[in-house]
Amino acid sequence: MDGSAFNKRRPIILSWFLFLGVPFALTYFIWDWFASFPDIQPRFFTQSYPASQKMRDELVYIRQTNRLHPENERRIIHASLETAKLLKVPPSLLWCLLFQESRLNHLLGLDGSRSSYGLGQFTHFGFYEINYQMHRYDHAHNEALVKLLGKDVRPILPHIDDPKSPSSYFSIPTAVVATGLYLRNRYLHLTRILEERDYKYDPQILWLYAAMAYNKGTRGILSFWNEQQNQGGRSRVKDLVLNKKIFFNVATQPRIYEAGFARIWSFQKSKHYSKELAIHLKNISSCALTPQKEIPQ
Amino acid sequence: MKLIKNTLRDLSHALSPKNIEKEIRSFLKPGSHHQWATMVIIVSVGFFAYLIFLSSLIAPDIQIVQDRFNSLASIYELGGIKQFQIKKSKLRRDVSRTLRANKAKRAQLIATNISLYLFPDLLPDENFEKQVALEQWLPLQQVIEKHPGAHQSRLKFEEMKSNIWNYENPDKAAPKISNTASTILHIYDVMSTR
Repeated sequence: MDGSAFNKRRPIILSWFLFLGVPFALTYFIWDWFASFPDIQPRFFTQSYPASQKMRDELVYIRQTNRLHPENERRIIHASLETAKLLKVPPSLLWCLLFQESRLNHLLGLDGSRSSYGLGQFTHFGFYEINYQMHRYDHAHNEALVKLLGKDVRPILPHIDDPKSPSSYFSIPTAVVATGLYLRNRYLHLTRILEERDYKYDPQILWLYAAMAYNKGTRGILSFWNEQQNQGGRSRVKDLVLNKKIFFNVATQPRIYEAGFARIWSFQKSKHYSKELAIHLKNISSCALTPQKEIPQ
Repeated sequence: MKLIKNTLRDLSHALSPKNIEKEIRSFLKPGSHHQWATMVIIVSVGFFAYLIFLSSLIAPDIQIVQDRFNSLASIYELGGIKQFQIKKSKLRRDVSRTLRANKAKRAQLIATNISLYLFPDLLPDENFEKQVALEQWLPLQQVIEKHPGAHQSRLKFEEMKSNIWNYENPDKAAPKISNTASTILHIYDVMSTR
């Protein structure tokens, strides 16, 4: 095309450029604006916890009766936010788990009267896992421990004689980090089991299962899944790990866990643990999740 | 040497195409003794094979299985590792038959729980707990059985104990594990110290 022909066609070329280019540019900028806009959908895990009014009232009561010192509360919040960020645990879930287990009393069990200790109510076997078995779940956990506490403080134990020691589970930052790691181990273990069986899952639902496994043992959850698989096949388990609506409709009913627990325990104990597990899930959900009515299904 | 030579010679004659053809013709002759004899042998062998197959379907009484499981620790104490392995092998056979043939709910539960802690390979692949057992206590048990009473066995036992407690315990206020898990830990506690 020579110069004079180009000059003649220039208005047409320019028109086409404007006709196609402007909508394209507009679309791109609108997309970019929405992509960077703050979330307009409510999150599954709330950013303001505890979410339920009942628990907020209880928290106020605990403060007012001096069972929770403001400085300790601040340290728990700070440690749980830092831990959640590094370990990619939902912050509300971690905080609510600590609240559920100990009502944020970091010295619970200091007098040696209990089988479990501190903020996350760790048992001796929980300490063993944190101290010696972290590599089994994620090799990065050792690094996370160092980043969060400044150094590897293991072995972590319930040092009754020196509760403020960084290696003591009665030290707030140590307790929060150890609890976060243990919770994440449960999550990684459950997701790995599902992935090995080619199950797709919703990670948010799996975090709730991890909190349930923290409370009642991984065996309780796997027995539940085995029982559901026996009754309804793979599709039943798939619904329970992928579909939030089905999960909440089913998993908050106490009786749903009885058959699974009955594989392990006596009839009476099965009923008792089932009820406890359903209550635990309800409490964790009401504390850590955006109220259900706001969450789009 | 001569005997072997003669035997080989007779065998090669018996298996020669000509002889085989002759045998087949003799067999196909109605009413021949050869035919009757062959049928009797086939029926007898088939009958015994069927008996063996039937016996594999019959599961022992579940209480017997439970008792055999519960007695493994004392078998080790009295008879050592060899006796233990013989009894464990028999228990494995019983558990396997129970899983296959005894459809009673209680029997299936007991057999499944024993399998989980001693013979996880008997569990179906769909069982969510199978992989946990294969990873978290079966290898440790194998080390303990290979080196009973050794220091490394004691370390493996402590690891297994922690794994099972973390896996099962449903109550932090009053920690506990199932009877089956408790029995398993007792067996390997004894084995790792003596």
